[in-house]
Amino acid sequence: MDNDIYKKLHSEGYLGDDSYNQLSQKHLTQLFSVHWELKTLLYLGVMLLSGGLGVLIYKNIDTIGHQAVLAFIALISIGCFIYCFKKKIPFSWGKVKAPNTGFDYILLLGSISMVTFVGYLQYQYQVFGLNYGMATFIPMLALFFIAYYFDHLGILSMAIASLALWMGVSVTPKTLLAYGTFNSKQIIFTYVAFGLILLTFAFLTQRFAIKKHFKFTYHHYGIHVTFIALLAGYFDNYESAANFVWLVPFFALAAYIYFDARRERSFYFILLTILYSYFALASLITRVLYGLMKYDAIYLLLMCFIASAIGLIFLLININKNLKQDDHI
Amino acid sequence: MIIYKKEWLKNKYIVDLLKPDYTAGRITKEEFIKIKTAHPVGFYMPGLMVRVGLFILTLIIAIVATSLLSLMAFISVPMGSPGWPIFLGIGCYVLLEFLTKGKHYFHSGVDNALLYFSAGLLGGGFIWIIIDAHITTGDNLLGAIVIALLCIYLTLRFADVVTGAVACGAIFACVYFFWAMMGKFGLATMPFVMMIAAAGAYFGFNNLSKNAKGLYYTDCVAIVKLISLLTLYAAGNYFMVNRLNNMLNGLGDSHTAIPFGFIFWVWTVLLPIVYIWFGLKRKNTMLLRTGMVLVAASVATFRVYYHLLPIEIMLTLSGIIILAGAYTIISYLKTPRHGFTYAEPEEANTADNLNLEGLAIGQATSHLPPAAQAPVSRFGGGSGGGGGSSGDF
Repeated sequence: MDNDIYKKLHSEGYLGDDSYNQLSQKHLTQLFSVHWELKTLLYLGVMLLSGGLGVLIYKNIDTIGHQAVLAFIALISIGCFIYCFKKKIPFSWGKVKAPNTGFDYILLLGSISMVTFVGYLQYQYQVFGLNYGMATFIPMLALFFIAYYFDHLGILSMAIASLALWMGVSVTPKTLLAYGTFNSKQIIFTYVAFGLILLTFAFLTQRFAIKKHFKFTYHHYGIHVTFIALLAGYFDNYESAANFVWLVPFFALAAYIYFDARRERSFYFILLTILYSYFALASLITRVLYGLMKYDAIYLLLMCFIASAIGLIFLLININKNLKQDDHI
Repeated sequence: MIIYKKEWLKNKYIVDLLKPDYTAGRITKEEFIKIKTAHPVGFYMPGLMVRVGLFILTLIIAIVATSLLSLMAFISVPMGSPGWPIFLGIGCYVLLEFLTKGKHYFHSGVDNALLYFSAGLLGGGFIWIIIDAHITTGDNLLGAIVIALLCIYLTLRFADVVTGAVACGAIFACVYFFWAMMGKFGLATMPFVMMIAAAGAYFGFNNLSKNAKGLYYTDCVAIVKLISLLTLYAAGNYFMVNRLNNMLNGLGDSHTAIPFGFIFWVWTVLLPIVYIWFGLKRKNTMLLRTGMVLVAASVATFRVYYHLLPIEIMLTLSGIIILAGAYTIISYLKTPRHGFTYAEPEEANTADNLNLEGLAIGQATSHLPPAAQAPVSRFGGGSGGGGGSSGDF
């Protein structure tokens, strides 16, 4: 069928003779790529091997001994990093490609085993004592360094997660966490701060062109964390009428992210902002209407939801159109 | 039957067919631009993120609107008639037809949401009627037939992948329930009947995909083929047959023997290999990937019945074997051999460039005299929507 189309396009004069010849020979010359299949197999192999070894060590820890295990993990980690330092393409503040397919995986393995090593050390020997902040701070720094030095987005995500862990651990002493009686207000403030730090990183990344392609990761995590933390703050203080102050920074942030996304033409972030703001507004309206009219409010509310959602659909379609029109200029 | 303009669908197929040829450099930019201009696609097909947003919002509207209507209609009487969801479903469907025709939506999120919502309401209503009728035998079959007919109609009309998949599953369910009504003989021969049905479906749709008629339903045909392949495997998988046999005959799960068990073991072990073999021979990605996934399923099936090695040793060994195998193949394919390569597929690695090119093309074509009556702004909204996906991230 495809060849018929090529033939027709050729006879109608849309395709030149050279192109037509190439296209009709396509099924003979075209290579079949098994790239993703093999990559999946590689990934699966790494997962199976590390899982199997983990269980094997766990079951035989009595005969192997902790030092041997630690030495083994350290050996893997060091080996991976030596390989990466030898093979890497010179550092630059822009985007750096991996020298070969295996590189990213080896770097990932090295980083994971490094984190495991520190964690194991702390768990078994309490090297950092009760100073949990230190125990999470050092791997975090190392991860950020690796992410920037070797240009690895996956390790950047790991570093961001360990930043969250470090901030969480530092504000909440272990005893409180263990008994589940942690102060939720403190946690919320911490995560607002965490989200804002990420957004600042995103801004700085863009402003000073430091690994510009990292911005998406920072922005992505930052937006979700900040919005969710602010909403959590709003609902946490639901009894008090003054809780709407939580929504002031919420909408200020939403406006900032919206305009930033417009400038960057990132429809993903526009969509996120709109959906989060819609949720916040909807809960605000629900509250106001319920306060005014009690249960009679339900019809009005449902109609409000329908009308506003239809409005949002038109808004989305419009924004999409505008973004595209801008692109044409 | 199909709601979309056939000419646009054809044009879309042609442009989609030639896009990889253009990125691979088999045709020149001028030729591609000429072909795109001469084959306009006027559908509204926004990028993925827009579609997700529209889908969520439309679903919210549909849910809130139906609950508002239900609330108003049943303010005093308790709702208790299957006619109500069917009524709502028909209303939803009419809106869907109206919007799709008027706004030229083509799987844009809005129409997807309305389609699934109305299908759910209609299907639920019909099932409700069947349950209310208290039929003693064959109610399962009746339900499956109703769902199948509904989804076949919707798939033919809207060429949607999800309804296509549900229709295919419902048809297999029909075959199953129908054969189960044959009593003892039916149950004993069930796996073979399902195998025949699945194989027939696969080969039938495989022929259709080569036919010009299948052009409007490329994605639906693909999903039906995939489900048929999976059903074909599941019909003869030892674990599936064993459990079904136990369930139907009221035996416990400890019962592991089945009549002619040998056949099913051969099936379980060989079929994935056959898939992979044909996938490589025919250079068919779907067969190859399905085969790879089913190898894992077969290994899992085998482990349910035989414990040769402790799990950790098995994991470690298989990890080493897979890594070594993958590494060997990768280094073997460093230079392409026998038509295979380890290089990334050509469509994927130029995705970024393609967007920019799409924009450049959209701009260039605005100066060309349009061959058909396609407004230029539409054109950018079409599959020139390389521009459409540029909005993502």
